[in-house]
Amino acid sequence: MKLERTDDGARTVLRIKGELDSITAPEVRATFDEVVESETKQVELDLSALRVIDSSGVGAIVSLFKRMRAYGGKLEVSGVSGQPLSIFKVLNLIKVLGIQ
Amino acid sequence: MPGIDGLELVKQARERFPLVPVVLMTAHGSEETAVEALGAGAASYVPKRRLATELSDTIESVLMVARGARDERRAYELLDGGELRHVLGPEAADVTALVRYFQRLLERIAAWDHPEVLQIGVALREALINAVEHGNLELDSALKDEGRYDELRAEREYTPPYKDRRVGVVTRIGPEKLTWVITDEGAGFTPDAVPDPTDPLNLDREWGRGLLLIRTFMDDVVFNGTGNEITMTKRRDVTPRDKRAAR
Repeated sequence: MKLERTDDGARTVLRIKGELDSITAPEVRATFDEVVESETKQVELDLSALRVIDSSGVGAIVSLFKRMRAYGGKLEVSGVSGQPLSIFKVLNLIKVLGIQ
Repeated sequence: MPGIDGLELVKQARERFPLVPVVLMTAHGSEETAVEALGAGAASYVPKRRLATELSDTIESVLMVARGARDERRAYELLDGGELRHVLGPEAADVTALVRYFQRLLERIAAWDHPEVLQIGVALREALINAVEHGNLELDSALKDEGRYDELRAEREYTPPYKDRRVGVVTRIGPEKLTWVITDEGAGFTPDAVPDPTDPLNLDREWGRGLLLIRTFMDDVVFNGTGNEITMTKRRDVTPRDKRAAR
């Protein structure tokens, strides 16, 4: 798993590549914590290079979404396809996370 | 190729025609693309300037590997039954290693298409994580809400009695189905008491989705009375792969 972060003023883009699972979720959680602690208003989570996700990975993303919502921030999840898309569909999270 | 680059072509070719090996021709300075293409499933690549001297040898070695894979699948068709037994400790790396091992096995015997192998891998991973972390290490998912889950997991991995508990995995391979029986040494749980994660009230919870994924991606899922043993079955589509692709 690889996580790339780009900050552009009040907006942050996080790009996750590879596999987001129970092993790698704690790694992204650390960056998610930084975003929440700095109360970044707008975050794009680019999942176009994400190959596989499991329930721990989904949990980390839902946690980010929930914590950002608590301080009025907006999380945009983009580029979801393949296996991750089918997981978000099964878990009924397409609408909640605003996945296009 | 209008609307598609070489990398995307490799990805789509691997998904739609997994038995066809892909060899990439790369221009000077596109080594990074070649590495990405290998990661996406290309079998090999040949720099354009060395095409005349290296293409023939490259294709020959790629075909040799492809023939070996075909022989493995053919041998699987002859299989009447078999059983594998694995024992896992508390290390997370054991789970990853075993899931990847099974995914490779499934890919090699071509019992399922690549996207389905990924989903079977997710179901296996969820079941193994449940057994190791919630069963043997007795970690409650609610600890995630408090941010203490990872810390306690690391601690219990080296603390008795948790560190000494094992997870047994028995895999029965048959011509028409695969069955995994995963047993932990924890106290067990009541599967019916797990809240539905797709209920609107539970959608923004951070945990509690693993069991639904297991039930979705396996054909049959049964727990023992204690809840510390899960039996998962995946039936095989016995239609030959080329006919499946044509459907």
